[in-house]
Amino acid sequence: MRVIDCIVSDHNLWFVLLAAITCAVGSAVTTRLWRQARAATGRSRYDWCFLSGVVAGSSIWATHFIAMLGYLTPATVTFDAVTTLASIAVAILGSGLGFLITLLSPRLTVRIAGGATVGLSIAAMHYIGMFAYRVDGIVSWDPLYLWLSLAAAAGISVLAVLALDKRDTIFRGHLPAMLLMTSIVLLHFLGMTAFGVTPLSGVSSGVDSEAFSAMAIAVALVALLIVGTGVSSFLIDDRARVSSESALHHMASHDALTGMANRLHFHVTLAERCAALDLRQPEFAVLAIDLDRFKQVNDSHGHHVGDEVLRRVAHRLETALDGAGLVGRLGGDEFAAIVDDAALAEAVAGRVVEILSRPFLVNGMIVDIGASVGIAVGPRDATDPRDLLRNADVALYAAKEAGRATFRMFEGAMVEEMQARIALEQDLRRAVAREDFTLFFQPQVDSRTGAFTGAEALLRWDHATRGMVSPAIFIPLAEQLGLIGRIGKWVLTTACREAATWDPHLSIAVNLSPMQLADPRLPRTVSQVLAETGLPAERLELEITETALLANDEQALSTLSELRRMGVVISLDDFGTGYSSLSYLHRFPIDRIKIDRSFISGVATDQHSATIVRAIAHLGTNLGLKITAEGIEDGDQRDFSALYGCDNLQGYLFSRPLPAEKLPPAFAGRTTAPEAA
Amino acid sequence: MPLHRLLYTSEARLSDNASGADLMVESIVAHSQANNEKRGLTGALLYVRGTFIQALEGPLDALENTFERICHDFRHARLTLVDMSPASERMFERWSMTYLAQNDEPARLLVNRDLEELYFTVSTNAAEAMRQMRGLLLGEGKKPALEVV
Ligand SMILES: Cc1cc2nc3c(=O)[nH]c(=O)nc-3n(C[C@H](O)[C@H](O)[C@H](O)COP(=O)(O)O)c2cc1C
Repeated sequence: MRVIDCIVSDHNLWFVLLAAITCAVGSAVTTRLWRQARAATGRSRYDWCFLSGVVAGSSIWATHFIAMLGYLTPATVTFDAVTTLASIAVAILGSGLGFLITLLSPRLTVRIAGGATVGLSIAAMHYIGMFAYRVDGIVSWDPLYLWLSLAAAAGISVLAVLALDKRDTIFRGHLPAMLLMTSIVLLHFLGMTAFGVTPLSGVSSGVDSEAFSAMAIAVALVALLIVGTGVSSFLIDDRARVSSESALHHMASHDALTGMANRLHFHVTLAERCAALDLRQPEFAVLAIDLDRFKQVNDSHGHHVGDEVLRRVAHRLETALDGAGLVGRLGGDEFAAIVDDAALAEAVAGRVVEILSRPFLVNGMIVDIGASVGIAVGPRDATDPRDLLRNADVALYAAKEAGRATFRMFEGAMVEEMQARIALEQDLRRAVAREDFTLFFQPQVDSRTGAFTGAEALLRWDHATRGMVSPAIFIPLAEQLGLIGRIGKWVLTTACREAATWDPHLSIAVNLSPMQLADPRLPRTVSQVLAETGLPAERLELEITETALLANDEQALSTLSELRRMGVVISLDDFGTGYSSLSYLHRFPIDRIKIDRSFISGVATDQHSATIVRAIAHLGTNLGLKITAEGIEDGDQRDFSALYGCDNLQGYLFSRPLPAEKLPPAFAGRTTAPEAA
Repeated sequence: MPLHRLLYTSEARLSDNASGADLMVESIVAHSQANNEKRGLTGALLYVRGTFIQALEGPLDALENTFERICHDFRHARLTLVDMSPASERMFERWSMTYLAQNDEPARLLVNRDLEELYFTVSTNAAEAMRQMRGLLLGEGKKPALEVV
């Protein structure tokens, strides 16, 4: 055990301790930097290797130097400056190179070569340093320890390299640093054991111990400075990495446009919330929030404005939630919220609906949207995140069905209603595709002569299992589904084709839905149909409702004027039921008004209805309009209507709606009036 | 920045007890005056039959920002924007935000009647309503300071 003997008896132990501390700190920092180098890519990998080399090299050098200062020699000692400096350069470049080699390839041989290079650099530093150590005496080397030191340094350094890739639990990742330190220390003291000095007699022995200590401290300080630099560069990078990692995390979990939680984050939070349900947490609610009319904002104002509105919607949602939970954007104009306490769900939903009903002012433009909200409560309505969201969506659907700008709580029955509606939608789509509709025609008569003047076309949908579906149900649905254009075109074509086979004095009345009237292509469609079927425009009467005029009156005015110019007759249906603003009669090119059946049914019994019918007929006549009375069921109603100026009559008294084939015989059978009273 | 003016109505959602409600209105008006002064906004706030009627005018940016903040406020609800358009000059230049409400004092019968009339004009004719507001406030000799009536 000459090594221990060498350490204990040939060295000042304080210096040994100082050297050991320097070596330990240096090794620890070196391995951190080395790991950093391994994690880095591209150019910065070389920088990190260099930095590792600087720290490793200077630690090795400082360890050596301090230990040498503590070496008790009987002879006078000096250091050769140039060689000493050369030794530190070798340590830095050699170990840096070694670290680099270990990272070049994951192959074992390459990593061993790298480790060996590090170990041999330590040795090279040591022995070059020993050349710089000039003693006044006879120096001898023991080859056994010399080789032993080389083998130990290289071998243990290789182990350090291999340990770098191992997950060690025992030393908590410090194993490589410990091995590196062992390698340095072992090399030094094996090397010193191999080294022997016999003093020349007559020369004063020893060194100036004060000067020596000062030097030792200076060296240690420089070494620590270097190591400290390494530590701080590591910390700077680490902090930068942490902040860029948290920035990345933020990006991954937040919506770029609004800065609120994104779909992923929302789902993770919801899943956590559902998982915690087992822990007897209070009930919580999921809100599905959908913007009404948002698509139009993008369409009419552009994405710029649309994006700004979404940002503000996000902000308003945060205000509406007011800390009651998490709100996120699931995509597009779809938002959702988790309300931590289900008892607050309806209040929050109400606030959401309220705050989004308020207008947005963007660049001087007014943007009106609105929101519908569906609520599902966990665990009452579901315990699984997917089911909860689905139920909230079902409730959202119900809220939209209820006219939007409102909220609904999930109820089991909603699922069936929704399914029923979806089934109806599918049936309607199929019916439209197959043109599975039929037209019935209800004849109209001249109130003076009793002669037939034409008929109104009435749309029927006779479904195989549903039976007769009312237009009041399927027309609004067709409008929502964007099918009304196709249905309308079919009705128009079929009705005109039929009418073209009738006697030339008979006209055909066809109803237009508000949405058809709002379509600027309508006049072109009508003229195409007329050309196709050969029906003269004068024999076509288009019936519109007041609602259609209300919705979009500029558009309606120009469309109607164009139709009028083509010669088509325009009539205002259901007159008296809606707003019945007389200004319509004045503003729009209307030829005829049809008094609603609800007034006609009361003329004989109800003073009020009679007055209204008289007033409308009187007014219409004075404005030069033709008047039709609908729903005539008996002689009294016929006589009353005829007396007060309704020129056309329609109702069961004359004929029920008939299928197309029954119409010509009906027209032929009775072209003269039943006896007027 | 071009000048714009807006007019809206909303239903007040104030505290149920009268003094609490007064305090809320006082706070709204005080904040509005301070904020509007800074941002170059002027206007008037009326309170009739539980309804706020507010006219607000100024540079477009400031106007839109403040309106957005007002839209975050749950001290009122069912907000209806009656008008929002460019304006060539201010109508309420004297007031950062003046406030006028109905009350029971017999001496104020006329003001009460005018406010009542305004309540109906607002929904049919925004421009006329704002002219009436201005006339009423000028007649009241309203100073630019807060004056809770
Ligand atoms: C009816 C009503 C009118 C308001 N008018 C204004 C206004 O003109 N200017 C304003 O800054 N805030 C107004 N507010 C208050 C805002 O909604 C919001 O509370 C306020 O701007 C926040 O001000 P602070 O940042 O000083 O707290 C009004 C609030 C209500 C309910």
